[in-house]
Amino acid sequence: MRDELKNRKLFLYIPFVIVLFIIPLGGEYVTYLTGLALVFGIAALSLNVLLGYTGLLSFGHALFFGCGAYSAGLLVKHFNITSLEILLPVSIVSSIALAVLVGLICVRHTRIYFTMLTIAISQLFYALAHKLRPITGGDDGIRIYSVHIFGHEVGSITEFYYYIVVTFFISLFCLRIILRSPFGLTLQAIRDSELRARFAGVSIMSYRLAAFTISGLFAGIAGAMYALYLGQISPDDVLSVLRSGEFVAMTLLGGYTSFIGPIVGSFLFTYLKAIISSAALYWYLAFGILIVSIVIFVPTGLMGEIEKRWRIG
Amino acid sequence: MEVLRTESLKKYFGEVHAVDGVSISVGDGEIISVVGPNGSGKTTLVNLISGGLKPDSGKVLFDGRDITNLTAHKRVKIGIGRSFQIPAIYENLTTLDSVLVSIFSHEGISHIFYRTKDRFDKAREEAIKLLETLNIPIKLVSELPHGQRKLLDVAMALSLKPKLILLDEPTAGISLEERDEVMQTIVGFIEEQNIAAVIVEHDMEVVGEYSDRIVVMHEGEVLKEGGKEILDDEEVRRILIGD
Amino acid sequence: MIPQIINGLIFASILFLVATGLTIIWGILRVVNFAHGSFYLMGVFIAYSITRLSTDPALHLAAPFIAGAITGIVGIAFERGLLKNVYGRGELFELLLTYGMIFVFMDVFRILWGSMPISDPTITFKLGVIPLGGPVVPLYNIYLIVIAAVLAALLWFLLIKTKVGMIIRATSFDTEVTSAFGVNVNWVYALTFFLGCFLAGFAGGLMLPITGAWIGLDVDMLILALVVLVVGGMGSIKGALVASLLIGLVRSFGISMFPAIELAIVYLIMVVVLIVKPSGLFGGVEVEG
Repeated sequence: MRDELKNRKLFLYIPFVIVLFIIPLGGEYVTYLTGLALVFGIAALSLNVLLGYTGLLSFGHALFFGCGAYSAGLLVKHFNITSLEILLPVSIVSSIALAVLVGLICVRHTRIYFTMLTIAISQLFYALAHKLRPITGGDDGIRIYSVHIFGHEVGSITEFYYYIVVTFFISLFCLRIILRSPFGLTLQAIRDSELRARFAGVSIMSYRLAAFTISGLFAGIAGAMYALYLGQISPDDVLSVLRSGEFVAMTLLGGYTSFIGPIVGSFLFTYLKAIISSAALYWYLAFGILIVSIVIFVPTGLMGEIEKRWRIG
Repeated sequence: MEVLRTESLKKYFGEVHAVDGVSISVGDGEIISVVGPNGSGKTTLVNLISGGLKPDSGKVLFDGRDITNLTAHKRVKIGIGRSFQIPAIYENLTTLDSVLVSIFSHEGISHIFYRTKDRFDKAREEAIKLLETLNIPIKLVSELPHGQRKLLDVAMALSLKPKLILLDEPTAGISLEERDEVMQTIVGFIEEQNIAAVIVEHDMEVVGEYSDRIVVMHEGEVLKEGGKEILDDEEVRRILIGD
Repeated sequence: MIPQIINGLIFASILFLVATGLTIIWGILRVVNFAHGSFYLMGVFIAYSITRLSTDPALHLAAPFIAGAITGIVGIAFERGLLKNVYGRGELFELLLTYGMIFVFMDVFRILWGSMPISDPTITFKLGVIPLGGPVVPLYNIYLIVIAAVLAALLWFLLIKTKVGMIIRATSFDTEVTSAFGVNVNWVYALTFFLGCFLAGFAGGLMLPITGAWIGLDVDMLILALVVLVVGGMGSIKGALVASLLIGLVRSFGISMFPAIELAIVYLIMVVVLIVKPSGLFGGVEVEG
């Protein structure tokens, strides 16, 4: 999380923003994919608040992604509310609440126990979403048939794509501020030496809980936007441990030691997956080999490697 | 003005009487060295004072206040800092950031989740100054040689502006040539800021040169206390040299 | 009542075998093998290929053992070939490596055996049923429970009473010390991985006639094994036994009484145990007897 490269990075941000805005010129499929990459990017960023910055691996992040998705979905299904300006805030609030609750349980533990707990709790909710058919629609999930924003109906995927772009940059901006702050630095201190942080006067549990909450909050935002974007959610799609694993994979791929690593990973992953799956090749095999290769050869991910080179050169 | 006082501190680990009724006191700005053979209870004593361990009996008083039941991080907040035998440092941060964490904590702004320019700049300046004073370069912690890692450990404690600092073998692992320089830097800073110190040490030269008072421990108890002259005491020499 | 108990015991037996494999791998290598469910699935598939060769009941009974052995060998290949490269990088990376393997295995299985669910109840038919009180129970089911118990006893004997077992257990305490004594730690790791994967593959082979295999079974079984591990205590075989029985029977009775609950209650137990006693019922760091 080094800041010396700030100016160089600005040069990359501007073209990135421009490209994002003109993506729809590439057609609906490319737009759809990029929207997905952006949404997953927010989720992966949120995961990295815990992994890269606080040193905790969550393998159950689909819990919050799904929380955001289902909060929106339940409002649509049971109350016919389709306004983004209501759905998004509600998703945010519910994600915060859930994150605090789950966080209180989880942050007392570290390392493998923390990871196992996140799996257990997310699986619990996954199972509940499956079983509580009358509420959640069970296996079939919920269909979100339309989205409105301040009265105006969102007419196309392309239009909603732009809302995603805006949400993405707001989230990015917020997380950047948070992680570059004294709070963000203190989190990293806790990650590197809980002992030293404690003896520097830091209350370890409170900071972990705060990180957990921030992480869950943004994952929830991603989930809500995802639900509205796709128009259809189901437990296997938004709450499964496989979905959680994908977030981990993206973060790993792009690099967990870098702020933008997860975003890079999300884009790479989403496009790669689309290309490989559509070529009727073996996506899982490729995915597995990718993970194994990264872990063995490039554990700090793409951005980790790049940043290493920039420091040397 | 008494900064620290322990009253009959006892800590047993099963059969082992690690600390067996230790009562010491440290005055304002005083530098105490605690010496003794391995297993005499020095590090346990430091842990009891810093809050890393809870005593089985006895009290710890800081500035007249009973802090025996206060948690470690709260003790830091009231002005006790410490360094560790094996440096507890932030492997992935820079030396500057490492000190910043302590400064933020001291200023009470660790929890602020946005950066305010003036506060941050002020903290940064302070950190740079401290690192300069202690001759620690600004680089990644992982690139520091051993001697400087120990120094950084001490620096992070010092930047908390404590009233009392506990140093656990600050020169262990540092080469003989560097030892003098390191100790001079640390003690110079401590004396200038009028910080009281409890230094656990093995190196008798260091102890002799910098301490206002020396406490000799043996098998969990205080054997003798006094100035430099007790290093020449026959019993003390037997205990220490037969180490 | 009796069918529920039998079903519960079957489920518990399989869980126990799989979880024990996972727990000894954790206990000795400090690795949580996320691919463990895949090794289980591998056992089902390999046993299936074997049973395809003939309808001879002897072959069908031997299938799980052969499947277990082959799975064990694949396990060694994985451990020596890939996993050892990341030892020392931290448990996170070891875990992530095994996680990646799930997907490699997934497609390999699909390539070799297709994606249709498979099972082979031949041996169940061949062995017939025996009456147990009121209802009749397939003899194979009883056999399964017994053979699992026998294997458990053999494993206990191996680890507690033999020299090899002692070396394995010593390694879990302190690798530096044991290698100072001349033990080739690498062999211990490989052997442990073999044992762990053998148990998983063997369990899979045992279940071929009953539930067989389907897409997603690897992840399902992994999660269940993790639950047993956590509830019983990571590294504790005794804990795995108790937890397997607990979960197996609770689930069996739970399903028959409240079908909707099923897995949710299993996860709930795990969460509660993790909160109350994060090290599990018999939590400790060494492999226990």
